[in-house]
Amino acid sequence: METIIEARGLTKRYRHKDAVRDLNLALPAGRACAFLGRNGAGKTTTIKMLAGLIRPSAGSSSLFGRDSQQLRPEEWRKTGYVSENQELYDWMTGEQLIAFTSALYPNWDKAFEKELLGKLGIPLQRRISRCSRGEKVKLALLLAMAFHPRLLILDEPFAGLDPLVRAEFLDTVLEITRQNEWSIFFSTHDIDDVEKLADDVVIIDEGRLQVSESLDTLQERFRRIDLYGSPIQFEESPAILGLQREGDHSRFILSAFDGETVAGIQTSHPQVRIEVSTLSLKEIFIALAKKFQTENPRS
Amino acid sequence: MLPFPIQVQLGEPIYEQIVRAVKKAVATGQLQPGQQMPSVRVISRELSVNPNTVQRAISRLTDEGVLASHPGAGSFVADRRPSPRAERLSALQPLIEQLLVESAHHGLSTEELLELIRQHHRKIHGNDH
Repeated sequence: METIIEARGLTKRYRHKDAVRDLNLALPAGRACAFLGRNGAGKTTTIKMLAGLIRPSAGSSSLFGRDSQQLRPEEWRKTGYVSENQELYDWMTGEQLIAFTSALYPNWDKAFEKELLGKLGIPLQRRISRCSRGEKVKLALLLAMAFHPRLLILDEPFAGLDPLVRAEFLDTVLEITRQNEWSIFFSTHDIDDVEKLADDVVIIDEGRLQVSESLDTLQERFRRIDLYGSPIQFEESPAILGLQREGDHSRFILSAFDGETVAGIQTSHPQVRIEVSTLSLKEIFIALAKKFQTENPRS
Repeated sequence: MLPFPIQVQLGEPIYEQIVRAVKKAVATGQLQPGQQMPSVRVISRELSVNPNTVQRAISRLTDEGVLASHPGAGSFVADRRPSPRAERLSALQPLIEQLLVESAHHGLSTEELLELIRQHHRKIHGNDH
């Protein structure tokens, strides 16, 4: 499978701290990867390096096998990019900006443009400076998609959008998956949307990679465990997160759950009653973020 | 509109939810043997989920013999055939165990549990079975 995005030892040092440290990533064709982390974890810095907008201090990255620092129009014509604070030429109207942008892309698809316009409901005659934030983001998405990019990079696309616009945005992004060749790499804080869109999840903290696996395996190995019965002594384990106890009830999140877990606990503690529940990605992310917080407290 | 009811909830892998919804619709007769399934693309669009997720569910359902795929023509609801005994046991054992544990916990006798199962069976299949 072709690798669309690759990072090898990608690092960005600023004077007082390392924003990104020794990051390795690979996004294969035909998959959607969610890039998650707390505020200031290094997501935007990473995305800017991947897109060649800033230079890494060490390591390297590539898009379509081409070094991010040497991207040519050829790669950009295959890449749609929407960032949180997208600068659009805001003295233009939507219609003018679409005409202007479409001229830059040989494979701009006029019919698809019309379809996206219908789907997103973007005002065409109004100056962009007078459009709402949601309208601007939808316009940016249209401009990033109407030429059928093989790679869509979205940096916090859902930030500040109301639920309806978010749903329209998500539906539209999914249109890209109807193409023969597509990949999506997106950062977001709206984790509920990730579950519907992502195949893979990458989580960074303090610029370091913490999780990189498929959403399925991540959801399969995390469980909330409730134990009722006489208090149990736990060995400290990095796989046990957020242990709480109250009387004879213990509750924790296990990051290494498998088919043997329940039988294992039951064998060593025959008297306890065990309840196991699945977790949403949001609950998994919060449990991990709390752990990062404890390990790397921020001011 | 999809021919089987499903409400995607967060917290459980979405492909498993699709697998369960299709199995349930087959069990209740909402999906009939031989009926054509909507394409991956249509299901993905209806549920607003990644098509890879839908594909995974369809593959699982095909592996388990709930659906049959005809190359070029898509997926169909398979004719119902009883699965091998070993397979049935391994599929049902964990569920039965959980049911027994829960009913013991709620102070239910085995007889009461069986009656509940019968009632529920009537609810799903009607009285004709």
